Amino acid sequence: MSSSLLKISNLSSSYGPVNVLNKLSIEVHAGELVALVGANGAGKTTLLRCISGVQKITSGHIYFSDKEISHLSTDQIVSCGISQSPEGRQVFAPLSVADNLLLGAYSLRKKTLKTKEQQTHAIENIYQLFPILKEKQAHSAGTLSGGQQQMLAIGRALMAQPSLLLLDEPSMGLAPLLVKEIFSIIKKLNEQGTTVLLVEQNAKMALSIANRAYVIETGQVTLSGNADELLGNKAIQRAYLGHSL
Amino acid sequence: MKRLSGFYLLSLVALILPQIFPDNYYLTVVGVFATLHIILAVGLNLLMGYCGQISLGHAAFFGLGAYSSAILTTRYQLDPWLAMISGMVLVFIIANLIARPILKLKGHYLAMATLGFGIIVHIIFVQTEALSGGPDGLGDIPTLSIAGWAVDSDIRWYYVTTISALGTILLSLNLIASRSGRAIRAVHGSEFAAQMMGINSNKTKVMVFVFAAVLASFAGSLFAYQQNFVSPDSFSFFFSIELVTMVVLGGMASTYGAVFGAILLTFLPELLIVFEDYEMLVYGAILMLVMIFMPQGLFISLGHQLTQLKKNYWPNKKPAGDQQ
Repeated sequence: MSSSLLKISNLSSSYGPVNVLNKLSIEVHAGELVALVGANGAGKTTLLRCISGVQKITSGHIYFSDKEISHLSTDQIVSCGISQSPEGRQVFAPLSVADNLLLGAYSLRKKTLKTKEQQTHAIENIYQLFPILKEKQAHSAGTLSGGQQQMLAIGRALMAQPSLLLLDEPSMGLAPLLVKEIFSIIKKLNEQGTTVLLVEQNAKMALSIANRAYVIETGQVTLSGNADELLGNKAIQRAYLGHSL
Repeated sequence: MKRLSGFYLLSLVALILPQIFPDNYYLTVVGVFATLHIILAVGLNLLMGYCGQISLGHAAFFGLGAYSSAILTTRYQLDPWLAMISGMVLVFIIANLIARPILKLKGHYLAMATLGFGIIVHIIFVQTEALSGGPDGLGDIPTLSIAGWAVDSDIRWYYVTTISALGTILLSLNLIASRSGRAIRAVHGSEFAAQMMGINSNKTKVMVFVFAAVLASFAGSLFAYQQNFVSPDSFSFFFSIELVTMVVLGGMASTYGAVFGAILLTFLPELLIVFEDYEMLVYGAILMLVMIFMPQGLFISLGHQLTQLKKNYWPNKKPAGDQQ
């Protein structure tokens, strides 16, 4: 087998009679930052849900580190090292910021995060990445602003020390300046060695930090290649980036 | 430890009170019911308040515990302790069996399913006359004895049930502060996000349901030994509703809230006796008013009021005339 960390081949999935993914195939190599762009309803979020095992697949295969994970349950998949920051952030509103982060490490406890010191150390790492979370650590997550919640959602996913980080629409509902900040952090994370699969509607931002990208339309990959090339592609510019770039 | 300071205070009060009033009816008779209700409400609060699931059939597990103890001790002469444990094992198995399919339901559907379960169990208590004594109930249940110390007076029962209730409260407080407790609260927030954290949400819900059910069975056995008599009326649908009311009235997602709700709803009817025929009317009105004006529950709302008062009277190092 190749050296790909995540390999998806001919994946199909449907909500009842509606086919959302149609024989879709993508690959993510270790160390890469891969972007998945496409319009509303293209199947981007569904794909991430399939990878995490929340959404049932009708046919096809998902391999992670050369091991098939298509039929594992979500908690087993998280234990394999795939962690997701879901669409819409989904932080646990009544719980404190620190508790939210500890929940992110839920799957690790038995393996690496045994002692209190290790827990504090792991949380400190997240605070270094997002200093604002340290200031707010005792506040309940519901009182954070949208941008802070997004940081918390990413930090929470990182607490699982994943070998593959799935990010679903991290720019959703955020002011442009915050989007820039979040994306530079995502880039930094990738440079530090985390493999990232990034789903975004904001194609321009996503392509500007990614190594490679896939363009998805109606559940199929219609274009793929280096992010720079796609950013210069006329068809992409017309469809997703606006005419003048 | 700061986290448990409230618990220590509560224990102190609960254990000192009988020293001062050893023969008080409200303490040693009504108090025993209040403490049994605390065990039930604290368990149900784990499921409703913290895990976000509802059960309208919790009285069934209380009844199964009580009837297990009653039947095994009177008809099979089993030791009361063994009967109590058998009841808990039985409830553990039954709760596990029904929780798996039932907890896949949500909201109103879960309410309906648990309601149905409660009614079925109640009908079984009434119909299986040869075993349960039917509507007339089952009497002559022996009392408990702890290493030769027979629990045969009101005050002794007060100590047994109070210590059991305190143990339950401590268990609940520690569970909620633990890793599993975080998982339980996460499932309440969003099952989807909880799964993303690697939490098996179905397993978590089943675990909490079974835990609450076994606690109820334990309380049921104590109830049977304390009353020396059980009848189906004690475990009807209305009692399930009363338990839900205790949890909601005291304040969801707070162990002390459940304790407060249990104590209040046990004592309220006793205090409202002065209204004679209008007792239930006033009782209902109080419940409605509390929910309208304190939707978060009495315990939590009163807590907020107190901190507000404290702020007004002792404004931290601010000059007094500052707030005009």
